[in-house]
Amino acid sequence: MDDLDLDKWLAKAQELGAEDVELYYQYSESNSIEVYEQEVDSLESATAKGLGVRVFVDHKMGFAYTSDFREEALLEVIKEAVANAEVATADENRTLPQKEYDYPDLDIYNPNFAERTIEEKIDILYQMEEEALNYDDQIKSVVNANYGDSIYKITIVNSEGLKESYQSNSCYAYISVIASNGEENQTGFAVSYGRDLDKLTPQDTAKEASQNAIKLLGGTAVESQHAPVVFTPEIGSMFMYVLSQALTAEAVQKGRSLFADKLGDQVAAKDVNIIDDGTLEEGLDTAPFDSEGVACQETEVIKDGVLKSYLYDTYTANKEGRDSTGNASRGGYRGIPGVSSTNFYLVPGDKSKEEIIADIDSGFYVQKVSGLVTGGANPISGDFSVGATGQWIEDGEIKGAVREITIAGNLIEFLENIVELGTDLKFNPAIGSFASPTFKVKELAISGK
Amino acid sequence: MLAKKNINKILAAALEGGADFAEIFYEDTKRNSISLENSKLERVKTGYDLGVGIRVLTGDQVSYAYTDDLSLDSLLKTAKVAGSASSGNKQVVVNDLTTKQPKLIHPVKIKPAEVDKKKKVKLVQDANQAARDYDNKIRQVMVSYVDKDQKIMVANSEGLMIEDQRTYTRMMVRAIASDGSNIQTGSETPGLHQGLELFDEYPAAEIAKESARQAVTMLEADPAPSGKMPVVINNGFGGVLFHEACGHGLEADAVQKGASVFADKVGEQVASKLVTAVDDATVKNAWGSFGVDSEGNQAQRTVLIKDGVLQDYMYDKKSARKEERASTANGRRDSYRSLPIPRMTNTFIEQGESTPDEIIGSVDDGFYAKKLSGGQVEPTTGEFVFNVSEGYMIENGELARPVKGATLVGRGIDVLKKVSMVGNDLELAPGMCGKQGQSIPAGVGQPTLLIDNITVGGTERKGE
Repeated sequence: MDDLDLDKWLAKAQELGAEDVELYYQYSESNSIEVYEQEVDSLESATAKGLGVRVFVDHKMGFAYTSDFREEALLEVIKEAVANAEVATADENRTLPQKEYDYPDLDIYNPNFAERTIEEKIDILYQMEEEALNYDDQIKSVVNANYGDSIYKITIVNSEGLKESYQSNSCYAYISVIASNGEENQTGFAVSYGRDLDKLTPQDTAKEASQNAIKLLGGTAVESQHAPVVFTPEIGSMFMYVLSQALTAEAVQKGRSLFADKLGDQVAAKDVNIIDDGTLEEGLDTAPFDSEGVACQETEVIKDGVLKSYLYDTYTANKEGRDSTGNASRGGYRGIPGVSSTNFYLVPGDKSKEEIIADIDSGFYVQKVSGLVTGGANPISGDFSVGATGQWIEDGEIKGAVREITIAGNLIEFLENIVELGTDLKFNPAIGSFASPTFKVKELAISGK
Repeated sequence: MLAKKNINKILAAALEGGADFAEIFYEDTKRNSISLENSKLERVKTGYDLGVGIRVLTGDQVSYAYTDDLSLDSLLKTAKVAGSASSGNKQVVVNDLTTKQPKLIHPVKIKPAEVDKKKKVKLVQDANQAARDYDNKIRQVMVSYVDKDQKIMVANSEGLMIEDQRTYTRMMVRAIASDGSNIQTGSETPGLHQGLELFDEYPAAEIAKESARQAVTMLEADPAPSGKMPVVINNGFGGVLFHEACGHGLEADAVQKGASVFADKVGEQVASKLVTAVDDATVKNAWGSFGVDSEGNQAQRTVLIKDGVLQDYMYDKKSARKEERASTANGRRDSYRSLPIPRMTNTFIEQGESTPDEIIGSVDDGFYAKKLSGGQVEPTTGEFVFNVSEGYMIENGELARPVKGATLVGRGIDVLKKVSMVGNDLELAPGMCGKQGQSIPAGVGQPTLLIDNITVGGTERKGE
């Protein structure tokens, strides 16, 4: 894995016209397995490497990447990065990080994981699939029972003298099932993850997915109305995803955020706290430093309902003459760094899920939404309208399934109307690293029949 | 490229574990992208992807390994990794490799690799300027230019060896208009399987103007109403609804897992008699076209639904083997890092006889979805929600006021049955289709369609 002399190529890039250079080297080993009807359906394994080259010429930034490490290919990728910088627009805020950092010491790599055998991994899927199929007669089939893992190492070097690496690993298993009552089908999904196989919970995950499907069977429509809505951690975390997009300094500076000009304002109910924490060891987006080599940190984004900070990388921080919050992110070596959240969550409260439900006379318990993360929410106006399925709550009890409705509102009103927060904080790794507990929103518009 | 004698060795190594089929997928791709926002060229990027994926099939089981180290040692090791997962005990011998050519060539006149970067930058700047010049309400413009040149080679133990070259060029312009209180966006994103001659057909300035027009038009829009009503869906990208809500259910992997409402329905009436739908990778230079698929099968046209009757599904090699039938050349993958899976190519509803005017003219009180943006579908049931980025009310057979914030909600198979008029204006449009983490270019399309009764979900709320 130390097959590439990064210092040599750094010098080469400077020789070829780059004033500042950053090389981002990624090495990974990954596996994924899919089981279907107690047979291994597919098994994939890979070792991959790649280099992202970012150069600065006269405050202009250019980027190129390659998976081809032959000398002539590396030379070409550097030349292309320089040529790309030459046609870009100059911007004095485009710089490498200038500070020196103390990096947190994080437990994000489990050296024992490399010893785990493929048979152990397959067995997790066998257990998970079997548990789901035996859970209830209404479970008609298991659509997916998948496992995946990766071990990866990131090294960043730059012409400011940075040379840092870290290693990390993770694994996950997920299942999706179809439940049927003879008349209609519903799907249910659940996932577990960790840094070793013993963190995966095949039986519980299978049960959870099965319950998620079964409880939505026999859904009926409801009348259009305004009603309280209870969010599960899965759905709450999807709203956190949408909010995180509007809370990056990039979105704010580019006029693409409903939170622009709102620093210091009360943007949410008093009980609402939202944190981005790149050092959270149980999170999936955890590292000692971000994609530019800036130390990761915990950032209070919303505290007691007041907007405290946006999320910054070096460029957006330079623009405001402040420090980066360590939120530079790139989708692997192929991506140009941009700003994005790390482990982003709504801080839990002190109520149990049951208490929150028991308190409601008539309201909607949303279990699934469609369209939210694919454009159902406008990041500028904050208006959202999404398809939803779930259950109806009456007199503090769950009455039955509800289907084919839409819930609509505005993200700010949504935040202002969060009134009760559960203790059951849970990350939803299906969409990144976002988490929320169960919570209640006082009122949202529901359009049904 | 890999030498034939090495390919033989690699395939043989992959078969050592007792598998019954082995395949090599080689890819050498170069891509460029240029993005502009705020009149600044911020992201100028070049990427090189070079690698090999080795797939082994043993009955219904597939194993896959890939590497970006193309030395023979590394490739043999990768082949053994793929092969060792096999539980078979066959002794398959690699057939003599016969080099074949794609029957269909999608001609490329202006190869992206031969065009100076500055010319590409100029196109982006021209689009930015044109969008800003369109109206002083245009506040922000985002322009992206992308090109991709992908050379692939597929060789397998059945003796097939074939190469293909896919060239894609696309421009995306997003314009944001504001009148002070209200903000709206427009988006126009043409792309073809060809070179920069794309801009002869779609000049950059025209793409930009259309995007700006949408944004400015929607500033005048009222909130959309909610309720069931007749809906006319415009041609071209309107076909994304069919792609998402029906097309995925016609992919053989979903069907075989029972995760499709179309399972066991071949020969049945699943749609209105007016609906004929095809998947066609042979449309010349269309966004979802190719010479051969990513398993080396010649591009073909497959009729999925004819006069409302379900005809066939879309197969890759693995799903076809399961039913002992031929693939329909729908085995696609986004790169050497991914397994081929059944994917759509260009999937569209064939044209009918009505003019768009006749269709709109037939509606007394309804909704016209001129432009759809994103959407989401529950694949198993085909339940969908699509956002309408440009919509109008139809009153007495004529387009009336524009409305914003509308969504279309329903189930794919229900909508197909409710198609009551089909236009004569078939048009294809490009999209990037995601499935199992793989994103590939897919063409969508349709003529103007009238759907009798479908739920429009509006945002009209109390106090507005």
